[in-house]
Amino acid sequence: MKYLIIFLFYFTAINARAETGVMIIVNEANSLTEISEDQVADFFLKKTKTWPDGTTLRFFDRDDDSSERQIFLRDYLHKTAREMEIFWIGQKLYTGLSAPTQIKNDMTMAALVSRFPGAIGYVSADFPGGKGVKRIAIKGN
Amino acid sequence: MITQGFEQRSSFVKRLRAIMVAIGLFFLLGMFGIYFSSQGFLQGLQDLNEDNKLLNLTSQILEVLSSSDESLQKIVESSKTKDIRFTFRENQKVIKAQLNESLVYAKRKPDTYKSLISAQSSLKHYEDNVERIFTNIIVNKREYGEKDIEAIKSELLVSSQFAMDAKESLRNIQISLRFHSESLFSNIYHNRFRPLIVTTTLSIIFFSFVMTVGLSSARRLSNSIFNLTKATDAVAQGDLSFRAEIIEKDEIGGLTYEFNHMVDALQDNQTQLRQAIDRVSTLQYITSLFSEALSSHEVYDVIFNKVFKVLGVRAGGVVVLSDDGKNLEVKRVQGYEDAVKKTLPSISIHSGFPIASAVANRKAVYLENEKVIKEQFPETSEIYLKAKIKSSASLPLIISNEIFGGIIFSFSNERTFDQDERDFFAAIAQQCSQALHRSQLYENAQQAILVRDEFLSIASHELRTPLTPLKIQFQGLVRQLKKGDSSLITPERLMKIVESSDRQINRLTNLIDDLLDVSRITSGKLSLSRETVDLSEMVTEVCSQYGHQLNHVNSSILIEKNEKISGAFDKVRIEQVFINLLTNAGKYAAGKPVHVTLTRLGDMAQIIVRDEGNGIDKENQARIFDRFERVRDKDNVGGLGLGLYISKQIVEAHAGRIYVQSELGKGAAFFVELPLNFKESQSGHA
Repeated sequence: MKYLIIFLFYFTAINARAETGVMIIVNEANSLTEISEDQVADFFLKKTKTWPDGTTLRFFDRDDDSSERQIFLRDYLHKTAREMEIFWIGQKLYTGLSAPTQIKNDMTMAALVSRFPGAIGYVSADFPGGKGVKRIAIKGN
Repeated sequence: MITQGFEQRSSFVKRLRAIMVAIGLFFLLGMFGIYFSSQGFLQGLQDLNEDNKLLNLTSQILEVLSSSDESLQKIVESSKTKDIRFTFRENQKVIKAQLNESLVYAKRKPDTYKSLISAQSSLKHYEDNVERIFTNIIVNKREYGEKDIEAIKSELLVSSQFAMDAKESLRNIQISLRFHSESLFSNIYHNRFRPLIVTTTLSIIFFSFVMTVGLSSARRLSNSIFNLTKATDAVAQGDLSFRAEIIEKDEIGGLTYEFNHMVDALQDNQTQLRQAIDRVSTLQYITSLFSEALSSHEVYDVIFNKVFKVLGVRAGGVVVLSDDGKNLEVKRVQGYEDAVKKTLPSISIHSGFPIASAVANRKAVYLENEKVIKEQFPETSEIYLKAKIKSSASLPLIISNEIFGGIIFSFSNERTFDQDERDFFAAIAQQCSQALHRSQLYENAQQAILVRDEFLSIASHELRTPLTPLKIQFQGLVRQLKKGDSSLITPERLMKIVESSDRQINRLTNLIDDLLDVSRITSGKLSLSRETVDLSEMVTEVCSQYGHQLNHVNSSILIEKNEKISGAFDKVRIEQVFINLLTNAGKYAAGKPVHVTLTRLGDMAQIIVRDEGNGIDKENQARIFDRFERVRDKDNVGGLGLGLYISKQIVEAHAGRIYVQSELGKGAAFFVELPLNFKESQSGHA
């Protein structure tokens, strides 16, 4: 019984954590404080490749099986993973653009975002943060 | 030599040259057209080639990058880090080499070049990053914990970003290259017919040009030749008025010009020939007309009615040279003013008339127009003006190289009197001369026949006259003898008959002698046997002998002589002359005294026999010395009319002179002059 309750709690917690959403993070050198959802989508889809100040924009993605990704795709791109896959295949063929590099976990994501001045990524919403990265607010949220 | 105003060089050659130049130009144009239309083609192909190379290079780079990526993943697992690093470095070398090569090819593609540079930069970062990782691993050389592995993986991820950037750039290049190639190819494909179109268009233009220009040029040429052919044909058919049209001033034009020139000459020749034929026909016609004209009257009729008409003569005339050669008797004129005809029965040979000049100089005078007439013969110009004459030809009439007159042809128009025309008139003048001469001969013959007939009738009469009484007398005698009645045949009667017969026989003998003399003279057999003759003695002798005879007609001889005059003469013949003169005096001046005078005039002896008869008029004075001529008067004085003729021949054979001086009603004086100094060269035969 106890194990069931602990399991349930853990499960809920996990799920609760899953349901907490994602947070967009950028390199701390980035001058912007907020961007819109649409901008996020554009950045991700590589429609915009530079920040307003000219720095190369570098979006980092999460692994396919991560819940954060699912949330991110759902909330910001309004597309399914499959749709994204097809999109990136097309992009590679017609523009040569590769899909954003996929990162295993939040820690690695934070590490990478901190390495590139123009980097942008997403972590789970309750990510404590890290060195060299900062959260960027989303307009309208 | 080609005519002035025509091209000296052949237009055929020029045209050909022009066409060849055109061909050459079009050829060149064609070449250029093909070249330039192919330029794009070739350029396109070259671009395609470059694109292709770039594609290959970028593909290779991408491949090598991928393989590098793969091998790098093994860093974490493998212990052969150095090997991996070696492979990585080799790959990087290849990549760099290929990038550099790509940059060369991308020189003319700024975007591609930019992308390549960016890829190059990304790859540099990539390399640096990876080298750092290698260094760390190799330097540290220890076992890795999970944290270290995570750190390496993280670094690899970072590196991979740069690789990804490079790959993106390269792929982007490839996409644009492919697109470019496709469009290039599509362009080439779409323009694949351009060279063909260009050459076809140029060919069409060229051929149109050649067709139009060439054809029109050829047509002009052929027209020129065709015109010439037509003209030649027309001329060959006999139409000499045809002239070919000159279309262009080229060598054909020159030929046409010369052709026309030639036809002009032919036409002139034809005209001249026709003219010559006309003239020959005219001459033949005139000759035939003259052949039928016998008398001079008929000849003049032919001249004035037919010849003048045929020649278109407005006025003309015929003049005959007088015996003394000083005057021109106007035989007939026509067309001039009547006044002229009346005032000029004869003109002096030195007068200012063209015909006088022609006869005097034995050279035809041609007056072409009024101006010339006025200049050369001002006296005549008024007459001509009145008669509306503007030109005239005056020609001498010559027969057997002797001039005997002249003929004038006057015209109402101006004439050129070219050489052919002059020859023509000269031929006509000659025809007239011959005709006139023939008519003269004819008339002379007619006259001679008349005279001969008259003579024969007179001769027969004269010869018979003495025979008739002779015959009567002898017949009477025969009758009486036959009757046997000798009573009537008395010696006295017989003597009378014999004497009478003797006289008649003498008369006959004389007549016959005269005839024989004439015949001798005619046949040139009168020869003189000269001897020294005392003329005064002869005169006395003959006068005494003839005294009887003249007494019969109641004429007496009165002699007047001064001295003895001797010379070498044929006595018999001189006597004959003298006797003849006396006989004539007795005949024509019967009943009147006859005066005989003998004188010496220098080295000539002169015998004058003068009678007091009716005299001889001027007309007869010349005639009486001709054969068979006698003074025509009412009384038939008998005789043959040979006496004076024979006398004249004899006197002239002695190189002397016999002539008469007489006036009607004042008798006649006959003069015989004989040279006393006889030299062989002076003698002549009758």
